Amino acid sequence: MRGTGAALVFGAALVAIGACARPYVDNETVGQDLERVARDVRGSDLSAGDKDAFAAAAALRPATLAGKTIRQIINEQKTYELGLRLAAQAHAADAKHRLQIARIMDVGITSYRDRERALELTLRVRNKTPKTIRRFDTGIIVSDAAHTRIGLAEFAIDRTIPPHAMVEIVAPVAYVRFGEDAGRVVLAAGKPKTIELDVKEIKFTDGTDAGYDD
Amino acid sequence: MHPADQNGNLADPGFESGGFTYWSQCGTVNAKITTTRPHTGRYSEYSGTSRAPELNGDSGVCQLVTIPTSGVLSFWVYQGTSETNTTYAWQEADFLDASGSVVANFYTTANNTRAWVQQTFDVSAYAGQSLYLYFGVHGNGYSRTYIFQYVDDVSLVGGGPTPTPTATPTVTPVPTPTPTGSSKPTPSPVPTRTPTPGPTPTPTKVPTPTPAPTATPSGGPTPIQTPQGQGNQNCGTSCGVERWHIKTLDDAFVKTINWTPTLTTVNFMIAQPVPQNFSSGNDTTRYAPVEITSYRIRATIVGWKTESDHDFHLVIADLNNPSNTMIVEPPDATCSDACASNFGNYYTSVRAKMTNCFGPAPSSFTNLPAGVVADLTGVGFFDALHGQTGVAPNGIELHPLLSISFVSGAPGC
Repeated sequence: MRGTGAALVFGAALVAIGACARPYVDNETVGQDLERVARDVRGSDLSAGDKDAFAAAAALRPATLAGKTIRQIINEQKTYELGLRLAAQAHAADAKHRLQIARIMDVGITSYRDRERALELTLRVRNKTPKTIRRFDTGIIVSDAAHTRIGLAEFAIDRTIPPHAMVEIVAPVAYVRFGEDAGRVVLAAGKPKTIELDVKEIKFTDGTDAGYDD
Repeated sequence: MHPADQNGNLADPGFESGGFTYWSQCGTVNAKITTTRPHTGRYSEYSGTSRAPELNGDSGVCQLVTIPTSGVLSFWVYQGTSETNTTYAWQEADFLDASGSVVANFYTTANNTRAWVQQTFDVSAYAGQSLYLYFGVHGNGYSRTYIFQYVDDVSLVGGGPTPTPTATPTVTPVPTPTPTGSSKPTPSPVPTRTPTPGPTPTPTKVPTPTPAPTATPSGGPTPIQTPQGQGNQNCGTSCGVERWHIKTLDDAFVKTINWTPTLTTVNFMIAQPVPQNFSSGNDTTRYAPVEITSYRIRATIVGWKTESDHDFHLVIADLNNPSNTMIVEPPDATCSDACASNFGNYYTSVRAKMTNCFGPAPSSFTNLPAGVVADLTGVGFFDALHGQTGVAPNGIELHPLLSISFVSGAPGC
């Protein structure tokens, strides 16, 4: 009996699927005869979407399918594909957002200091627009030398930045801003770390703003 | 001899003694009784610095008072600072107990009003208690900022005979508010008082909630064990705003929630009608029946991320209809109100399960591996629609999420 890699034992439940006209019973368990079941699904009257989902699941993770009904496998794959789509949408939105922010300002961390109650960042910020910036909200992700994330925090910087001006800003981020990660950030004081900065929203003195709005 | 307040509840209300005969130094940095800026008379109390560098510690004065029946506390303050928020420094007024712990916080501010402003509070809830009335400022010694506060003309009046004090605290030594800083970073987060935005709240009793109808016992799920009382009301860092008290179970109507979870599905939840009077600005009342009901849902976890208010944002899908999704969120127990709710252990446990199984919560939405099915228990909640990833059409959520139990797809979790 042919199999997909693992030792095969023919499952007790048969999948009553044959040529495309036969009624499809999808509450049967797959057992371990995956290839036979997959062939039967292809020949069934399931929708094209359902067939594609089953085929994808069978290809991606055959070892996890035993004991599940065909309907479970299809729904599981569709949910997984939904997750991929949502993640892709989120990443695309993030990329678009970063592009928008990059058109408005350049911002980078030039140095940092571990102070008694805060991680103090020195930022260099350049306003690339003809408008005056009055505030920007930003987030930071702190990782250790092994690039393991230690904590993340969000904070606002209220600072007037004239059009086309470059300024240096000292921004202390209190450890409490890291929430439940605060203790880990404190313990990382004095140790090598990387800090990524991501501007979320920018507010201008003319009342307009740019970026995320939540 | 300097006259006490007209009802004899407080001595030297205008600091006209010129010194610390009736008021005591109650900080780690000395306050002053000064002629620089009185509201009336010659003297007022002054804490902090009027230019950089900022004081490093707490500077303030206190006096032991017995709160009268129907007590009203009133005083004038003149405040100034270069701080823009209360993260590192603040002006405050409190009732303290004998150990210096805050019993009631009247305000925590970073005001730069530079004018005399009268503050008035109903303190009848503390009638009969002997507490230390404290005025002061806190700073962290930053070289580029300053903060200060003048206080004058303090009054504590009552509407009837003062009850016999129920306890007489130790008078000596003079209590010092517990310092919130130390010379070295500590492994655990430094607590911050909840900042008070704008108008000063009056400490009042929590309103008596309307009893909810008794739900028919399901006889199935085990009721959620609710904590007794509430946690420290002055804990945590400010995280969220919109309906934050409801989200963190720190509202007045949390006791109306039916803690025996209703077994249900994502399909059922997303079909619930949005309350007719729904407002995303409503942070005081719960929309029955959904928001006074706990639910248990078996669903597939699609993906997750962390949010700016520190919530974990999980998207779950119906087991039988994967395109039907909703959001479930456990708050961060170190956030204000979340820590005060006393449900913090639930939040921490749920979050720990997720991070132990899937690593740190990503900052951008990330899908989970296929087939992660879990039983999720939480309280129903309606959120406003603003494009959240995976949001239900009616904005319904489990918020907060109180427990998670993996059924499949998360080996070892």
